[in-house]
Amino acid sequence: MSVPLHPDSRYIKALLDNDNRGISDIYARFSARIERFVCTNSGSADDARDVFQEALLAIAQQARRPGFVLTCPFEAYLYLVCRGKWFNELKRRKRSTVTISDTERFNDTEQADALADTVLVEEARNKLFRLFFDRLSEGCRALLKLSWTGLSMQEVSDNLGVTYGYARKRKSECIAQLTEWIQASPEFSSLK
Amino acid sequence: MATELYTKIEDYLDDALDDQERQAFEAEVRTDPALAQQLAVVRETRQRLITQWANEPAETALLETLQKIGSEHFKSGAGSGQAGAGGRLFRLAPGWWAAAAAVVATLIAAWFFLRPPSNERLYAQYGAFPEADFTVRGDSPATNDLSAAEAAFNRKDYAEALSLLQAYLTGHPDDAQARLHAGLCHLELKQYPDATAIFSEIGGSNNVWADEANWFLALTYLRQDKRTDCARILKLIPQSSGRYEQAAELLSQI
Repeated sequence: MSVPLHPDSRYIKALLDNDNRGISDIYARFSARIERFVCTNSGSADDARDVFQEALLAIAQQARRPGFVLTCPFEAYLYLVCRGKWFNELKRRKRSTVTISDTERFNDTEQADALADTVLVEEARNKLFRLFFDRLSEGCRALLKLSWTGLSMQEVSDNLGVTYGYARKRKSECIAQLTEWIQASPEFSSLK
Repeated sequence: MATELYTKIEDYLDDALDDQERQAFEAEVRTDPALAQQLAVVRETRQRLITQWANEPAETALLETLQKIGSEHFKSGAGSGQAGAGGRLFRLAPGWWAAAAAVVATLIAAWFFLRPPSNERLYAQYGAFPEADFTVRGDSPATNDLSAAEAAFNRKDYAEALSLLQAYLTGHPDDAQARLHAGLCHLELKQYPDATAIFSEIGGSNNVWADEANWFLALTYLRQDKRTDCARILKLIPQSSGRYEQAAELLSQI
């Protein structure tokens, strides 16, 4: 049985379609509350703008995954994502214990909590993998990107002007380096 | 773990093993937890990066929309702390003149230290060359030149590296990686027209080295105090490039 679409799925659709009018509606309805939350918790209006923007980007990223369905009110979901992001930012800035004062109350937030947690963990995990990929040499990055975006190893070796055997060997070395870095990172185990 | 194993994992994930090899590999995965773990990590790495690359155009477009709309809905902190009623004059008590002079002196000192960075200072900050990584590409006499060029480049002997690269390039004019490094040698030796010609050619192509060439073309302009050209080239570096963040950062400083 399929899960019924929540009426607020229109906001998700607006983000996925990059629909100006729909996105303006999201800002008009919800930005003031997020600004109040951030400003109540040691932040500024500029911080609130950044948190709001990053939360919408993270939600859109999550919503692009196959099978994503919004099962809760969008406002609670957005608030909890912003809350998690601002909590992380405060921790980053102060590097000590951080307490948050909530400025909004929602009923039955179990589903919104679960969705928001998934968004935050998935985004952080994506960033972790990307961070280590970007640390590879330019040659490794080019080789892996060409290979993983659909080219055969013969096409990859032709494109890079190297022998087929060299390209295969080098690709394995690059993957070995990348996965070693990723697994050695503490976040690899903690972000799950 | 031996690198050959990653070749096997990649072949498995690329569906490039025949039935017998695939079944043998899957049997091995079932009995070897370490192999199963590596397979899971490589699979996750591929999935996450492939998805990110595929979504980049949509994310960039969405980010532009959010930036535009966001600035209309949030009150910027720029207006805070402004003076109230305007136009009122006030007198400084005599003892305050010294304090005011000290403030002015501090501001001048601050301006001196915070003024826009000079070209060479910025170049030193951003102009770190990647290590040459040509390695061996089959056996040929040119391999010796290339290996020697790699060693010379990595010990920062750019004149020697350039000479060896030029010898190699006479037989391999299409090797973009070698040409890029020849360009880097020209740049370091302050032979700007040669560096510009090489980086422009690679940067304007569809070659995988295009973004890297554009980054160093921008630095070539920066070093000559051609900031408009530098900014123009930095804007060509796409978000998908590993140089994007540096390019955006440098762009904000020139």
